Amino acid sequence: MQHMSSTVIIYVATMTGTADLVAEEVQAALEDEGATVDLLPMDDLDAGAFARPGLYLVVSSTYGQGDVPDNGQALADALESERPDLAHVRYGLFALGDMTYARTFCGGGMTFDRILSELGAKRVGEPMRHNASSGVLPEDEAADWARSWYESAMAEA
Amino acid sequence: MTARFAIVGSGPAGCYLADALARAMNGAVIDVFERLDEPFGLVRFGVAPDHEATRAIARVLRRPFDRGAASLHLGVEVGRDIGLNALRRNYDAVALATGAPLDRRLDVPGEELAEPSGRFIRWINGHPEAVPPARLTGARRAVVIGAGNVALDAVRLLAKHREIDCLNPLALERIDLLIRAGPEDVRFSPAELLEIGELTTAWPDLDIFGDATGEAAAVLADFAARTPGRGIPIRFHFRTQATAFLGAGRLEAVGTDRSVLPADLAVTCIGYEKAAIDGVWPTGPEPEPGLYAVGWAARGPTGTIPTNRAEARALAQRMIAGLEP
Ligand SMILES: Cc1cc2nc3c(=O)[nH]c(=O)nc-3n(C[C@H](O)[C@H](O)[C@H](O)COP(=O)(O)OP(=O)(O)OC[C@H]3O[C@@H](n4cnc5c(N)ncnc54)[C@H](O)[C@@H]3O)c2cc1C
Ligand SMILES: Cc1cc2nc3c(=O)[nH]c(=O)nc-3n(C[C@H](O)[C@H](O)[C@H](O)COP(=O)(O)O)c2cc1C
Repeated sequence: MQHMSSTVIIYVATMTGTADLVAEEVQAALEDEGATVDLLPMDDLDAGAFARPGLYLVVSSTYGQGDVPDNGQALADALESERPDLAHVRYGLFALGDMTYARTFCGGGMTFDRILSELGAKRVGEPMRHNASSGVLPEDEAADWARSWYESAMAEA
Repeated sequence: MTARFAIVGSGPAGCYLADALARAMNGAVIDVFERLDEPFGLVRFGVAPDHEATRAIARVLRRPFDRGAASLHLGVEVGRDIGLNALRRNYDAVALATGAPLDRRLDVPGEELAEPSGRFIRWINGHPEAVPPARLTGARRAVVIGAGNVALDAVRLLAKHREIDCLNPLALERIDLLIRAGPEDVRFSPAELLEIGELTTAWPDLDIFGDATGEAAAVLADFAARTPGRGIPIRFHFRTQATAFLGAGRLEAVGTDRSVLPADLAVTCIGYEKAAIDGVWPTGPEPEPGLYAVGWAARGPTGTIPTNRAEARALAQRMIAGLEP
């Protein structure tokens, strides 16, 4: 199937760098599909991060007790306090967590999911929730997941 | 001109710094020197063998070398195989990421009869310079001293000794954990404490205590409310200090300010100290102009793996800003 090429903006929140590996695999897979990909750590982002209409992917791990990693905290806070209208945004979610933290599993990623949907953004596909105790490395699942996510996004567009 | 950076030590701090420098400055020469033949510092030789997800961070640390963005030189000890000054002459900037490799001592009589935690965990993790504990076979009683996560690692590994090859000769019936602080001041992380509660081979044995607050204290209060479990009791002794290690030639008991506890093995988990590199004491972030420090070498033995990453990323910016124009 031939798709129109598209831009995907990936934002990464990580504590030890695993989410970076995931994002890099996703980037490579989507570029193979013909997408233009911008990959950015969340560190310096503010409430304007989603101003451009388009397709976004949030890759976030979880720390503390279901918390967003430190480098994503400012973005999450800014979105919650400034509450920009994100009706023009479509996004996907790749959340990293560990089932041994049962009640807060993937809480960091799911926080972004909640905020973005509250602000009117529309999620494409189900959130991917990776479990660090599953024996499968998240970066090994990333490319396949990203291809099917991107296909859904293109089909809906 | 291509910028040239040298990093001493390939633990998390050194590897995250190499990655951050490479990402911030395309094409820079980045050489990481590691005294051992195996990289990744405490991720390889400190983190407990049953914490597999944490040990798997090694693959993240390897990335800058896999991508060809930095070079790893194993078996090179700075101060022995290369002088620090030679390194500083050959590179635009040098960063010490040498950790805090020395075991802190309690300074009480008979301490040579106890196992310091760094040495103990290095041995469990198969470190090339490992020294096995003096007495293992048939040891029935162990005393662990400390109020941080390393003490909980030691307790947990001892409780699971049947599952860990090198600890299999133990025959533990009881573990005493001596904590100088009260329940409100422990540095245990709640997650590590919960793991103690989930052991199938041992159970946390502690009494109800006052009205301590905080997440760790809440877990401890839950432990105290439980009925006795099965397997090895792990007795928590709060506000108890070890005052002497007793025995003639081998450990027989640990004296505390409250009692004397019979013991065949004692592990002290009371922290670590930095070492000088070629006469220079690392301290962060910039002990001398053009010489930097990061990770445990910079701030001492506190903070987890993510702390080193955040610090390394900040230091990379500082090192690049400090380059001669
Ligand atoms: C027993 C234990 C368990 C831990 N468990 C966890 C955990 O589960 N999760 C967590 O987040 N954190 C854990 N930590 C903390 C974590 O290991 C540290 O935050 C981290 O390793 C510090 O990184 P570093 O790079 O500064 O030092 P290190 O990891 O110590 O690395 C220093 C490196 O420098 C090398 N080196 C030293 N001197 C020289 C020299 N002269 N020349 C060349 N190379 C040299 C060393 O060989 C070593 O490889 C644990 C720590 C300990 C002690
Ligand atoms: C201190 C700590 C706390 C964590 N807390 C949670 C949690 O509450 N919920 C969860 O699902 N995963 C939790 N995790 C698991 C991490 O999110 C998971 O290992 C992830 O793969 C790490 O990705 P990163 O390297 O990108 O930060 C925690 C891990 C650590 C070390």
